[in-house]
Amino acid sequence: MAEARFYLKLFVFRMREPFTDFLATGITYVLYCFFVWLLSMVWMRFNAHNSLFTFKQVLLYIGVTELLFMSFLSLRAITGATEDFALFLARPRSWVGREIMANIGMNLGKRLLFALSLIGFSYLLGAQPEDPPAFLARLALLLVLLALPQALIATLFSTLRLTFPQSDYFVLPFSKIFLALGGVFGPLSDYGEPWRWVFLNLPGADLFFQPAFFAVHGYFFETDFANWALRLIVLNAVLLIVTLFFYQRGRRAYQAWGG
Amino acid sequence: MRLVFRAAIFHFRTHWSNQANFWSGITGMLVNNSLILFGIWAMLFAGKSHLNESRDGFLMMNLILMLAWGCLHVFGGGATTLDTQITQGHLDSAMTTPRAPLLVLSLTSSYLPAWGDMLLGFIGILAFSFRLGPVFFLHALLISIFATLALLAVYLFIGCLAFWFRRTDNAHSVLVNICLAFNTYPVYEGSGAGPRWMIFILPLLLSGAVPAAYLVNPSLKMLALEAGGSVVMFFLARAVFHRGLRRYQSASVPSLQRS
Repeated sequence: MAEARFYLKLFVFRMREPFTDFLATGITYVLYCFFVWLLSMVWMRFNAHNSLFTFKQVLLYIGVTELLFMSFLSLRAITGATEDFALFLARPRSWVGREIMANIGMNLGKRLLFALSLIGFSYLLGAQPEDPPAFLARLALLLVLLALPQALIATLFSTLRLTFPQSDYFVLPFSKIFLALGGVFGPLSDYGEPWRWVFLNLPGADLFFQPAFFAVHGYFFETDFANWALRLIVLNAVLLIVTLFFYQRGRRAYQAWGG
Repeated sequence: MRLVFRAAIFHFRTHWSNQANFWSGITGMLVNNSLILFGIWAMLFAGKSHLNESRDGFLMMNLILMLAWGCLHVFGGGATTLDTQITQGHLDSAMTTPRAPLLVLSLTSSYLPAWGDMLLGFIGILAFSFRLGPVFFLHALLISIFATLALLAVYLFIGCLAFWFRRTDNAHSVLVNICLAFNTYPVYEGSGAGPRWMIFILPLLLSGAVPAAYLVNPSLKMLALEAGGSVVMFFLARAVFHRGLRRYQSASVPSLQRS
């Protein structure tokens, strides 16, 4: 019970963290709104004529994918996680558990703030959702469901750098796999074949395109909720297994300073 | 020039001394940039032959930006972190030498993964030159020099904020990202057919969008705009730096104010 309370407190603490220094981080949300606007303009220029989306919908779509992406992988959080790894070897608590809970908390906190920015920004541009309560309910559901895979991917990189410190250089390109192939730039449904089919079957589509499509339209693109949830469960399971594998490997190979 | 050359040699030796880091950094950045290019290409241009001119403009814009960004971060990496250097007091030691403080600060660091940007930019331009002829290569090299100068000016303007404001790290990141985004995503039409408000952000477009417009349709007007604009921007940025330098107080004073 005490264990569960510790992880819950940690989760709440990390979730509240982005709210504590809003004045300093506030400008990040300006950048977020800028990217939503910019990508919507690019979409308007090239894809508006043959799309399943109206301008209002695409603005919300990009708003959702960007809020998921801009809180996706933080190199600072990944490197920070391993700083006290040696101490955890002497503690009766799980380092992996601590990392997963901390990442879930931090991720949810950031995403809530991005979601608030999106709502404000969409009203400012007159592109607010047609049914705001339904949109918010769907978004809230997605934020909860997507917190775990995001936390597992961040923890995976933290465990990887225990053995391979050079993995830091691959955080950025790895995140770009999801940015470029996951439909963050624009709806995958508007892409030309054969790339649309390829990208729709990659994990990036499950983490970015399908959730954003669902948030805007209320249904998934060429699939249903059960199928998407099943893919998400499989992805979580694979990520957990790989994370635990690299954790065990890292623990065995780890040498503290002076060791 | 001798100082610049020696600094470049020393930085390269430092990077080269750890081969695993060196190749990881370069590979990571190559993959990162290639993925972004591929993702945007797949979204906007795959299977759309009528957009060939826009596609070439988009690719050239990104290649020039990569080359400029890479050169600046490899050979003058210190200039890109000017705000951090000012707030952390490195300016103090730069002022104790008989050389220009801005030059000394610029040469203090070099960003390893930027070799990847430089490499990809150069290879891309070579590939275009193979198709369009050696004259294109000379045009591209000339315009890259001005693009690098313009990008340096942008970094200096943003870095100089630290002379007047306390916490500029978030603002620095946001402003740099906005500048890069305008030269990465094809919002601006090379022929000048973009939205009218684009004229107000023209200085930001000198690092990628304007050079690409020149390379797609070379004209004396565009060359003059790029050359004149980047030189004027650089001297303005230098003037702002010297203005800031006059009101600069030693690092101990700001740190006392913050505590």
